[in-house]
Amino acid sequence: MADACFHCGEPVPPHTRWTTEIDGIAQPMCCIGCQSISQAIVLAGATAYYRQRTTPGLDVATLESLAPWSSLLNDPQWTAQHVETCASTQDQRHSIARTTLAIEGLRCGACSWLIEKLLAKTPGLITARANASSARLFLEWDPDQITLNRIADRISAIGYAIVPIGSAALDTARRDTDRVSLRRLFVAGLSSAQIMMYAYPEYLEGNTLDDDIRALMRTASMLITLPVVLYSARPFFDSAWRLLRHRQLGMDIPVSIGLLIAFGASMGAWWTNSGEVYFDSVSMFVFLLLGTRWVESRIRYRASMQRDRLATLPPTLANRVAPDPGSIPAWTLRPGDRVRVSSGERVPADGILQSPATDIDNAWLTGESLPAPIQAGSRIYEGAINLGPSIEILIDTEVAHSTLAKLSQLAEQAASDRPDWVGWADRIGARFTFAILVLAIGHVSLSIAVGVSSQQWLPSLIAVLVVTCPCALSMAGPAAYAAALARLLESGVALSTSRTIERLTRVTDCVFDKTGTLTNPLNSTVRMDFGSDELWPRVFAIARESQHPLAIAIAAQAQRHMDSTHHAAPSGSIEATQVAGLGISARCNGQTLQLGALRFVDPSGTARQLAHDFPSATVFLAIDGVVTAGFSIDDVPRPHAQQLVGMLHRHCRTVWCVSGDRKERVMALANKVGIPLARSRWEFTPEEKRAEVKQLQSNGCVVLMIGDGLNDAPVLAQADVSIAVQTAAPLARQKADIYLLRPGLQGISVAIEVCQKAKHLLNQNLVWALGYNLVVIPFALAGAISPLTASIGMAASSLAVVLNSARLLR
Amino acid sequence: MEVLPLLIGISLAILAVAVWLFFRMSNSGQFDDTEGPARRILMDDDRPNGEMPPIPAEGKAAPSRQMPSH
Repeated sequence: MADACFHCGEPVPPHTRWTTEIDGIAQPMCCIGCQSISQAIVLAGATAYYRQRTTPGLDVATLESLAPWSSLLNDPQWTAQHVETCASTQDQRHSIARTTLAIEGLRCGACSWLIEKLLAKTPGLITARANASSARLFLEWDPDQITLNRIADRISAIGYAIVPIGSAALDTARRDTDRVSLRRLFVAGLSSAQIMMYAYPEYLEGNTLDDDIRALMRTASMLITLPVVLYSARPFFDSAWRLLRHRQLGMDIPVSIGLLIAFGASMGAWWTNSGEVYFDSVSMFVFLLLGTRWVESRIRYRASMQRDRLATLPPTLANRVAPDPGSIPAWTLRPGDRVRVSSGERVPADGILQSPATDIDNAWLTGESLPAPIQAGSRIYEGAINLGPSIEILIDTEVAHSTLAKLSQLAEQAASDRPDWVGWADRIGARFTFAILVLAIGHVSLSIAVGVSSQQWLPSLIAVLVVTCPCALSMAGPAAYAAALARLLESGVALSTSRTIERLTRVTDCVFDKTGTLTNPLNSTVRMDFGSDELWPRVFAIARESQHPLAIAIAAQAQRHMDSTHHAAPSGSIEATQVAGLGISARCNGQTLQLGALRFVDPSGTARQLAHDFPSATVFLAIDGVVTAGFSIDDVPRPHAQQLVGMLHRHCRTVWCVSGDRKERVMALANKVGIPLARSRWEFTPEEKRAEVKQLQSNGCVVLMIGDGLNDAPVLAQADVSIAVQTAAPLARQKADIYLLRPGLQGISVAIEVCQKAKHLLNQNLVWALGYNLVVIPFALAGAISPLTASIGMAASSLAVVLNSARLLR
Repeated sequence: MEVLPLLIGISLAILAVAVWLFFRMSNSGQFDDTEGPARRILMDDDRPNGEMPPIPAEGKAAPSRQMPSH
């Protein structure tokens, strides 16, 4: 029964005991890294952080993978772009440097406090201001007293990683857009609050008011509504214009029409000082609508920030072989350098292929995950994945130059995948409102035809249009989505777009990856089924070269053996080549070691008898071509897995398990969690998994795929909705629709439940909004709706929608 | 009711000032983060004022993860 690390939430490996005393209790830690981070926090007197934080800390694996980014702080090109130095205003001799850094892990108010507190009173640091919503840290320092690197070291010591802001221009643009939205909201809010003061005299004393007093009040109302329509409501008009240009239907079109008609009619009534004015309805409408959308976008922004695609991409490291061999950040490569790219790795920079032919995956560039052959002497581009054996590339570009530009480009691309607002709720609302407009026009034409005077039909037309102003209707969507997103975020589930909520409710089939998703490989127990114990050090040496969960588990067991028998790992360099999905081979001290699936280490099949004798062994070790050891790894399903599968079955979803692992193991696990045998697949390659999903889709199923990215990325992309678990590889997190922020599978049950509720809620909101409109229209046609009634109705119906949506938060 | 136009005029002027002030203040960036400051007042400092938090070892990049041992 594994504990969770108090600092980062990762499971504590068995047989370990790292602890830190926090508030008098010895809290478990998963590794020495988390232990030293938490000790640094306690030593700084900041244990309040642990009491107040709302998200777990960054785990050490992520910190390590992001650590090379901080070397970017030394790069003069980066400094030139991002650090501003100027003379201090107090003292001309000293200068001040300023910059804004993106901090990975800065997720909640407690984190901002912690970082600011730790940096406070650092000699030379003038200002440190952390913003948890945008994960940015603003710094001002005296470059003569302290360097940015020293500041960065202090930040890393308490468990935060510095990552480059992809595009400083984009960051500024985003911040400016946020500011403008808040300003628009403020103007609309102030106006609708104040306008009631001016409107009430007419409401209360309408008939006894003097003409000039009434004119005065109306003028005041008009004056404060003008900025609302011209400034605050601009986003609606812009969006409506855009929709019209693309011939799409969306809520913003009827919203704009309603606003313009109501405002125009009120202007007319103001000018002639007769009839009714609806300025208060206009202001309130804009305020309510802006408010709901603003709340929704803040929550969505917070969710997307938790899974910010660019920031959590580890920096590209290149394995340089000449001139100076070593693992270095890609942007330090120079033309003329030779780099080696192993099997399954990405090409770090553009260059010419030196080795004989290989196959590469250009999905990064072309979006297609098909292997493409490439010959020696051809150009190979940065980002391509090498599918064949290890290759060498001669770099011929100025990498530093293009890296910053590329980061910028990527950031802008990611930001431009803006969620499209025109969801299903929007379309229904828009259609309904158009129907109303048509009805109203029909009524007017009928009245004219019959000979009714404009004194009679004009006010009732306007009343109809104002009262059916789609306030509640257009809030129905955002309010429900905002509540759902907030609830999900609280439960540790981050969605990329609001549309995922709808799509999740339409899912018919759920496909689980086995290793890493249904199971937690770090919790498995490894047994050596055959082979001698003296092999463990060599096993350790080769297993730790791979990131595959099985290799990590084997290496962990090997380490334990070595510790208890006091053996050391074999010295001498190791050259390892990984083959995706099959295994890893390496040369160590003159021997060729291979670790992996049977068909990888023993292609000729000579060890088939051994495999027969030890059916539970899944991973084999071969030395110089002879199979010498076999390991079995017990799959332990994650605690929540069985319940989740049960819940899915109860909701009539078909559950599948697809894995690259052996038949017996997949069957055993499927049995443990309750997935029927007929719906388990074993020994599938990533491409076969993708084909399976495609097959389901062609039969009309809507597929949800849950995976951890190692070998899953193409399948996650193929599925209709994809969920990446917390331990997922960065590439999977980037592509997935839903990302679990906490370890374990509980988030998935919550996500399904909440999205279901959100769908019901949305239906309720729509029914209510439509129903309200239908009831009120006859009254408006009959002329029984005054501006007061209209604005009360608008407020009440919107409040009902919001309160209903808030039920989801309980 | 002659005072009414004056009062209405004053209220409009105050509104205009309020909006102008808000625009200026939002430029300084204090409204960019609406959640952080709310949380921050809840945090306690375990050290008496004036004492500097100890500086973690210089030159340490990120702590490395080692394989678990007894």
